[in-house]
Formats: sequence, C-alpha cells, structure tokens
Amino acid sequence: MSRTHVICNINGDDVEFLCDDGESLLDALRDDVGLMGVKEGCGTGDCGACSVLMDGKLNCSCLILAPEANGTDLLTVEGMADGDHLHPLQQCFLEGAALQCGICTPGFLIAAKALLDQNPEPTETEVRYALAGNLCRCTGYDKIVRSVLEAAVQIRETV
Amino acid sequence: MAHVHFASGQRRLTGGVAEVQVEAGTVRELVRKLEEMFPGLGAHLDETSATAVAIDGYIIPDAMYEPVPENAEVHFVAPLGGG
Amino acid sequence: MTATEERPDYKYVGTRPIRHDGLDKVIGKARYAADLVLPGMLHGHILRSPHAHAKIVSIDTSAAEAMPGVKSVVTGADFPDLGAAPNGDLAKNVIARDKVLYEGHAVAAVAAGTRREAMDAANAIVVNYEVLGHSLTIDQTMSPDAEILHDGLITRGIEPAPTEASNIVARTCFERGDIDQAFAESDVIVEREFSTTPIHQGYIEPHACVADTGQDGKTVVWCSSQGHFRVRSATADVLGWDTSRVKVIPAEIGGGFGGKTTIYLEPLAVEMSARSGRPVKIVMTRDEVFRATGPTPGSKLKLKVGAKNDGTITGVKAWMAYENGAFPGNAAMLGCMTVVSPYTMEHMYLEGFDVVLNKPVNAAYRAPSAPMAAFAMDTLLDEVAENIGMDPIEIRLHNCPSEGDPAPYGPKWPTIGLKECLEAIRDSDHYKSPVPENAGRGIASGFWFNIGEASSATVNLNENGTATVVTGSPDIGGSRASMALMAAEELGLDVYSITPVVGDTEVVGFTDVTEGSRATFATGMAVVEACRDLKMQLRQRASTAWDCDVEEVEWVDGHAVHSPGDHEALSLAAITAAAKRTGGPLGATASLNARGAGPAFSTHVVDIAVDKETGQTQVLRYTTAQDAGTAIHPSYVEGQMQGGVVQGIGWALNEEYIHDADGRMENSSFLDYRIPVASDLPMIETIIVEVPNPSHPYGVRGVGEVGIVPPLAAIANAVHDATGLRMSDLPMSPPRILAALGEAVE
Repeated sequence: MSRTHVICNINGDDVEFLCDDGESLLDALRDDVGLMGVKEGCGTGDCGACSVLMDGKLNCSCLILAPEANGTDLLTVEGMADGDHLHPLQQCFLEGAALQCGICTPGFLIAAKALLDQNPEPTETEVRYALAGNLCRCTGYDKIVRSVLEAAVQIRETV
Repeated sequence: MAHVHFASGQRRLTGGVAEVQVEAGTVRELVRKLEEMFPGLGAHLDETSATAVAIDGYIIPDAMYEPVPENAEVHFVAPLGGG
Repeated sequence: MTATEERPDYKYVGTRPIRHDGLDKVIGKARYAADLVLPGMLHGHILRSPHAHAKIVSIDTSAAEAMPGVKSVVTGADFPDLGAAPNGDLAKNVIARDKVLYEGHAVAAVAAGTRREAMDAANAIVVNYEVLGHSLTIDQTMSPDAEILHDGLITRGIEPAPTEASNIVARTCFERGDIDQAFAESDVIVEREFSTTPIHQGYIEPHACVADTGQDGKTVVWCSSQGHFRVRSATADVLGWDTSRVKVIPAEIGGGFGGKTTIYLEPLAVEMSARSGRPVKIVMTRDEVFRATGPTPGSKLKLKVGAKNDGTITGVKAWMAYENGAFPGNAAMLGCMTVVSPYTMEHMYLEGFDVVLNKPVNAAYRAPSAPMAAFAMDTLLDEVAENIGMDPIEIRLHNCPSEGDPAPYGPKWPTIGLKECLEAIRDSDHYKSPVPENAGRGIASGFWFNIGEASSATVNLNENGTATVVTGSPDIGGSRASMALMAAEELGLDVYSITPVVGDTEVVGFTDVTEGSRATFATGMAVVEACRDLKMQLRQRASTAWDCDVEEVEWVDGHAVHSPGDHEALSLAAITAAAKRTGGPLGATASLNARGAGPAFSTHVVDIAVDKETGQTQVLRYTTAQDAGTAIHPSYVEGQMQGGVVQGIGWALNEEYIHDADGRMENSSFLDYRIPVASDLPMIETIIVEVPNPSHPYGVRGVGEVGIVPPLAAIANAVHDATGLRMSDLPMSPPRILAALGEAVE
C-alpha cells in the first residue's frame, strides 16, 4: 500500500511522516509521530480528548485525515510549556486540582488555550460553552472552569 | 457473652429465633457453637456470608479468626464491594 | 469546610499540595495502557455478537487466519471451561462458549500486524448462530414464559426452593417489626413505582491492555484497572494458569468509577501473545465500551412509606428488582441494604429480586445499587413532608440515625455524620437563600457502606533523606497525594520529599481493588503503619549513634530528639546519610486487612428550573455536604464530591441505555449517550463535614462513592417543586418531562 508523505510543523518542530490516506490525524500523531499526549476517548469527535490546534484553530484530531495536516502548524499538549516553564493553564490546572484521572486533561488544556487566545477575558459562561466539546467524567468541571478563569487572570496580568 | 442477631433470611435455620447470647472468643468459635445450637446454620453462614461479620457496627470481611469482644453485638452480613 | 469537632493540629494532613503525578498529566507524559508500544507488537480486535441471545452453532476462523498480517485467532474453545468454579461466569463473559447472552458479547479475537488487519480479519470469521428469544426488561425476564438464560439457574432465597430454572437469581428479604402494624398506625401513607435504566460509568479512557507472553510461559500485562492484583488472579483463572505466571503492571488509569474492577481483554491478549510469540495490544472502541462493558443495573422499585403527622417514619415496604445483566450478581441485595439507611424506623419489609437478562453484565458504579434505591425512598419522603407540611430537612433530622441505632441491614451504627450533613445543608447559604423564580428546590440524602479489605505499603527512606511510598492501590482520583500527605505527617518530612508510587504485582504486597472508597482509608492505614515502624527504626538508629537507650529518643517533626538533651537533634536526612553505619538502609512494609471502614453519608440541595414549553431542565445551583471523616487532601475530597454529584445529575436528567426490539443498543456513542458537559452545569458547591472515623489513625472515612447517591432524588424533588410533577421514571429527559406536563394538564 502506498503511503502519503506529510510535512508539517508540530509544536515548533518541522516533522515529516508517512500515513495511510484513510488514517486519522489522531492515529498519525500517536502511532507515527509518537505524541501520546493526544488521547482517544471516542474516535467520533464527541469527547475532545484528542484536541489539537491546527493553524491556531481547535480541532478534534480524530475527525481530521492525517494527509490534511500537510503544510499546517499543529499544537498538542506536548508543545504548551515553554521548556521547563509551564503554560499558565497547566500551572493553574495543577494548583486548582483540575484533574483527577488526567485522561481528558490534554484536550481541556488545548481547548482552553484556544479560548484564551481568542478571548482573554472570558466569563464563566463563556468558559463553560467553550469547553462543552470536552468531556470529563471525574471532576464535574467545577475545578476545570475555575482553573481556566484563574489562568486567564494570570495571563492578562503578565501581558 | 456475645449478642448474636439473625437477619430474617437466616431465621429459617434458627427456628425463628432472632437473637442469642453465646460465649465465644473468636468468630470461628462462635460459628461452631451456633452450629451446635442450630444444626445447618454454621455451614450456611460459612457459605452464604463468606464470614463477613459485623462486630459492634463495623463490617469485617474474612472474619473467621476475628476476636469477639465481651458483650459484642454480632451480625452475619453479606460481603460488600463497591465502585 | 465544617470541622465538627476539635481536631488535632496536623502539619500536612488537610493541606492542598500539588499532586505528585500531576505534572506528567498536564504535559502529556502520563502513560496510560493504550500509550504503550513494544517492539514487534501486534494489535488485537474482538468479534462481538450481533444478537442479544443466541446459541453458537459453529465458528469458522479459517478465512480470517489466512488473511494478511494475521498471527493469531482465538475463540471460546481455546480457553478452559471453568464451569461453576469461581470466575466461571467471568470467563464466559470474557469470551462466549456455547451461547451469546447480549449484543456485544465477545465471540472471537484476532491479533494482526495492524488494527485495520485485525478488524478486517475479525469480520471474516464466520459464526453460525441459532437465535433465541431474549429479555430486555425486568418484567419480561421475570415472566414465566421468558427464555431461560442459564440452564439450572434456581432462584436462591425462596422456601421451598423452586424446581424449575428461571431468570430470577435470588430473592433477598430484610424484615423488622410488623409492617402491617406500621401502616395501620400511620397518618400518611405514600406509595409509588419507580424505574431506572442501566447507566454507564462513562470513564473517558476505553479499556486497554498490552500483554507480552514469553517463552518461559510467563506473561506481563500492562492495563487500565482499578485493581491489578485482581487482574492477575482473574486473568490466570480464565486462562487456567497458575497466578504466579502472570505479572500485572498498572498503567495510569483514565477513570473507572467501579467499571474497571473486573476484566474483559487481558486473557485474550495473553493467549494471543502466547500463540504468536509477540506482544499484543487490545484497545476497545467507545462503541465496544458501551455495548460490552458493565453498566450499572436498571431497576424497577415499588416503595410504600408510612409516617405520622409529626414526621416520624413508621415503616417502609419495598419491592425492588434489579437487573444483573447477563450473569448473576447481587445488586438487589445491595439495594435492600441501602434503601432506608439514612432513616430510623421500627418496621420494614424490604424484598429484593436479582434478575438476569440479555444486556451486558453489571459492573460496579460508585455506591452500586444505592442511587436508585435512594431515588425511590427520598422521593417518597419528600412527598410525606409535603403532605404533612414539614420542612424536608427537618423531617430528615427527625428520623436521623445516630451512633448505636440499628442500621436497616442489622448492626448498630458506629460513629456517623448524617446529622452533621443535614445541619450543614440547613445552615448553608444555599438553603437559606430564596428559591429562584420559576425554579424548584430539592433535598435528598444518601448512604454508602465503604469497605476496608487488604492493603500493602512499603516505605523506603532514600540516602538523601527523601522517601518513596509504594502501594498496591491504583490511583483513580488523587490517592497518591493522600498517601504522601499521611506519610509526611507521620515522618515529619516535607510532602514533596515523598514520592508516592503504585507498584506492580511483583514489587508490592497483595492489595485489593481500589473500590468501595477504600484506598485512602485502608491503604492509607498500611502507609501509616509502615511509617510508624520506620519511626521506631529511626529512633533506634539515633540511639545507636548517641549510644543511649532508645527510650531516650523521641521523633519530633522529622528529627530524632534526645529527651535528656545531651545531643543535638538529628534530622531524618542525617540518619539516612549515615544509615550504613547504624545498620543498613531503612525501609518498612505493612500489610493488613483493614478493620473499621466508616459509613458515609451525604445530603444535597439543588435548585432546578424547568422550561415548561420544551421540558428542558437547568441545574441552577447545587450544594453537597458530605462526611469525609477527615479530609486528607481537601481539593481531591471536593473533587470526589463534585464528580459524584455530576454523574448523578447525568443519571437523573439524560443518561440511559436505549435498545431496539432485537436487543441492540441504539445509542452507543457519547453523542447519543449524553453525559453532562460543562455548559450544562453550575459550580458544585461543597461542604466537607468531618466526623472522624475512630478506626483510622487520621479519622479517614472514604469519600469516593456516596456523592452519587442523593442527586437522583434531590433533582426529582426539585422538579416536583418547580412543576408539581412527581417523576418516577429516569431519566427526567425533556421528552419525559414534556409528556408528564401534558398528562398533568389533561
């Protein structure tokens, strides 16, 4: 079977990989690129655990075909921290106990970043709607929403 | 003396008796004495409850060798799990 | 937080450090079972039954075996028939033998080079079925003409024992006093019939495992599980192997809630790895998770409650049937044991029926069986309170059990904190605030036993004065942080100097499953015991260094202190640095069967708005008060409370299993099986009540489960307050509410 050659930028690095035409970006990121922080909870775009930013826009990587990533800029949870310096969302999730089992956490962090990149001062309701495509079964969302609101404050204060 | 209480499902083996006083140092000794008093009951408690025993309100699984304190209140209950 | 009595001044217990495993989870480095890749690894896929109930006439795997990349194909015939032995039913659930009992039941498995190859090959397996009649409801399966699922299933608990097989597993009965007398003495009697559907635990991580079986006949399994020691014994049993041939390494677990206390995949992966000589990974799809793994049971409950005009409950009569799924369980028994626990009464007659039917076999889900029971009981109690004009908190306080009162399932209550939970809600800002316009308010309480069981912990002091705490309890909600906090408190060591880890089945002593809210209670006890042993050793080492009697050495805040005052205090790090000189490295292990698990109670208040045009509900405000005993890490106690509440909200309002007439699940995705999302909810306000459990060194009670018990009734009561409707069938989804509103108008 012939495979498609994809060149893209992931988390700041130029990356090349070969994939099948019918392969999802999620599978390519996990199996071909080795970015296991991108999680599969459903494979049907319902849970958001596989969220990535593609050219700055929030996407479920399970709903994108891997060849579509050619020429794009991708961000996964592995690329959120600046070296040892955690992104404020990551730090606030830790301090705010916004994770229990942690399987949904990478997707929430990416979705929350997509929100704060667009809207640095969201209301609680805006946070809740922006995260409505991400499922968490452990926390009841309370501490996630609080942590996103806190991170927004911190990001505004440092700018 | 331990105060042993029987749930309604166990009373068919005690001839309807709901409570007895038994002198016993351990659950094993208690079960032996209950078997003498109510033939068949000891085996039933062994099988059906897998010897989960509530002593003074606390449920203890695998309790065969558990000491029975003076004046303890004893119930034989089903072993529990949970989520 | 409500501290209900003076508590010791702890330095670490009760603080909120960042959890030790947190960093890996926010940078994408935490390793779950599906993340593991081994050299030469194959991918497994399972062929599942399309029928709800059928005989397997024949299976032809030859075409599949000839397909590209296929290295192994197995069917039920490749595994031993355990018959009635323990785990016999589990083995038949892992892979069907003669019969499939529900749609999704595993029939065959394939291991191949890629997932696609495995999937294609599985679809090439030819299975001839003889389709049988099936039962999807309690009424159907209890009817005399129902197709029998298990030949020879004779109902237990009926005298004389029936002579014919049926789908009724057991009748359970708890009786006290004279229920007819209770109703004769009552001023008010209310009764209703209730129903609930199966609900899935809905963990976001699908089941996954990797097995690598070596030439020596031993296997290593990495898996997502709440209890790797149970995975070891169950996997060995299903394979007919000795337990010592199986090593299980717990991966990070992506949620469980009770659903990962059993096994589905592991024996299949091990067997295919043994046959192919290659590691085999199997990861379920979400569709498989819904169709083939354990939901919590559906139920049908008839309750009758009598009370006097002063609010005293005279008695409760209950008839409660619980689905067990395809294989026998004890769900109804647990329903009977929990249904009236938050209340005292002289008379009761509680009858339970466990039934099998053609749906996936139950797995535990947070306080299993208690939420449905509480839904019925607390709805009726609300109705009693309404009829006699009593406040819903007051009626609960009026009937509230306290220490020494008999629990409905027999024993006297030990120290419990229900009264304190009720008072905390009564005194909360939420309850004192007016009910928002066009909304209703509901109250309910819940109970769960909590359990103890076997746990092991090893605590090693490192040469630099730090410590490693190894336990056998998979961490599903932050328990590693709790273990570290208790060890920090004992040793007087900074909590970040402690590394808490979950050890595999070969590095730590036997430990029962993380279930029954037991990890922080029971495994915490083992950690404390090991630390106390270490403190004794540390004092001895100091006495060796000082050449004095050990009785002259005290352990104070992480230091050995010479009580007569002749020597300068030695820090833990100073003692470990010199450990070789004083007798070698310091470590201690404790293994125990924990006694004295403290019962858990919780009371909730919720405000709900109902849109009378669409039937849509909106949770406006929610407050939960729960007795934690002692909150070791309050943030994660709150997290357990909030998570339980929101699962209960989903159960009450939206979640349900929908089957077509042939018994096929119609909503096996998160799109159609709708769990709550962030925009459905308000913040979940928490009040941690602390009535310490006297049986635990820090008063821990266990917090994981009870939070899911009250929401069903609390929400139903709020919907009633808002609309006048008594909703007795779950979920209270918009179409149901709309239909009920329509009937009320007619």
